[in-house]
Amino acid sequence: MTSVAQSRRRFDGCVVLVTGGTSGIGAAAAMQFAAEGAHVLITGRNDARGAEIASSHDNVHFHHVDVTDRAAIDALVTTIEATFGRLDVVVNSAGVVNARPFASMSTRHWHEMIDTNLTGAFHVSQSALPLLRSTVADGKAPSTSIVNLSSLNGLRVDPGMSAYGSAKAALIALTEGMAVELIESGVRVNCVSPGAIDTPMSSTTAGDEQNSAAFTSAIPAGRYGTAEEVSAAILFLASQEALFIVGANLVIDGGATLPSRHPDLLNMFNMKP
Amino acid sequence: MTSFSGLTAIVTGAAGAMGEQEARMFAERGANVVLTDVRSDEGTAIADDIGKSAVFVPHDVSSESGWNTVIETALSTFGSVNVLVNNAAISKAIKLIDTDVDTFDLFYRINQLGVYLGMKSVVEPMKAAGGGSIINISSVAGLRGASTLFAYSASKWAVRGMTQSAALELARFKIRVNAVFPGVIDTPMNAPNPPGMNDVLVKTTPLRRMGESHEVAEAVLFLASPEASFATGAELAIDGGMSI
Repeated sequence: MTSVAQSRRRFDGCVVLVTGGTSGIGAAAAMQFAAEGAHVLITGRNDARGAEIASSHDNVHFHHVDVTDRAAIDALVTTIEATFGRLDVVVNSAGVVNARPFASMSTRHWHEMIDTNLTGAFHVSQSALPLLRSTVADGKAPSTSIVNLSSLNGLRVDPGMSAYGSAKAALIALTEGMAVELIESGVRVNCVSPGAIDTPMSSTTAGDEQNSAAFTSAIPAGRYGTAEEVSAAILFLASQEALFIVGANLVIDGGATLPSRHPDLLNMFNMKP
Repeated sequence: MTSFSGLTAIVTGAAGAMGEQEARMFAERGANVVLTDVRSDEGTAIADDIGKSAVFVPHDVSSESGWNTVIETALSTFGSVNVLVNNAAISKAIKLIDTDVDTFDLFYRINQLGVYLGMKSVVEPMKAAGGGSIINISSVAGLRGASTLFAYSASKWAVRGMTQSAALELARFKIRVNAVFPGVIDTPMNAPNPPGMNDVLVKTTPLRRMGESHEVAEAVLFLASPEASFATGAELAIDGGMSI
């Protein structure tokens, strides 16, 4: 499958910005965009990981940018404009997740979840918008695209995830709000909501092996997804194959959001994967 | 592009614009295709045009025995069933107050019962193949209310619900079930709409145009492909932003 997918060149000559591109889903998306011909700029806060990802493909470049730092984002967009003169795709995948009980959640935790997961996407999208628009206006692409990374927790919130879930639910709303306003200038905005994906980020919530097994049994598909399975959806929505898709939220979760919270019912009917 | 080489896809309503497009694109990407429709002349002509990798079966999706024939033909001709696209549907603008029981029942039989029978029919052959992918075509009228499409909307909401429940039940067999929700697509199905209705529909679409059949087909093929291997129960609107 992968080798066939990589033989496509849907993003030849395109310029793609992936925030949080130094690990997990963002890194997988960056590599797939590059494999399909794009110049890819990844951002993150970990210089060592950024350098490592960038070293694995000639067309992937790392920039140390914190998405909560508007001035740094504006500077990066200015660099992209000066270097490439165009921007085709923005993937807002920068995110942080930590579980906290609501009753004892600190204000600092609340702001940390909202600032990176939600406000970051606002800053990056607004900063990049003029260049996304001019890329269409200049006839360089039929449409340009923003893909936001929400989460299963943006649709159905797990215990401990009230702040993270609030940010991710708001990101879906932000997707819709941007989509209806920006489509007029040819900028398509869509969202991908991953479930449990085998990435460094998920290991912080899944914890030990026992926890991990409990997680897996709650996924109808019976397994974690891979970062590549999420990035394939990101690339599809970003591509010109998805020209009529505007404001959509594509859930890639192995069915995890489908059942009501009654594992006993699943046991009763022997429906565990 | 993703290859469907060696796989067999069943597309219902394949004599219609969207179904034809899906069937042709599956074939272009290497799949064997079983086209079904009640419109035999049109369906046969499309299958003949596609060539050796396509076969047409005259088929009313609301007939259980008809589904048996479809599955038997798929297995005897191509050896497996890997993808089902429940595309066949009827549409007509009728309000609640003008909908009689026979009309409501007709929408139920083709748009809802047909999808249920299709999903049920492919479970065993897909299990035998080690898994499979079902894509149900709902509609924006299955995501929002539609004041002039009462029975149609009811049937399309049913498709949405059946998709979720079937996805949950069939995940353990590695059968993925997803739904797409087209907005206003430029097909003959929309031609009989009352005068001015299509203009209004385009005005309520943020993208300000109708979609094309191939744009729906691209999403169907993506969900059917191994690239979407962790997507099940997903709901993808292809509507130019209409349902926002």
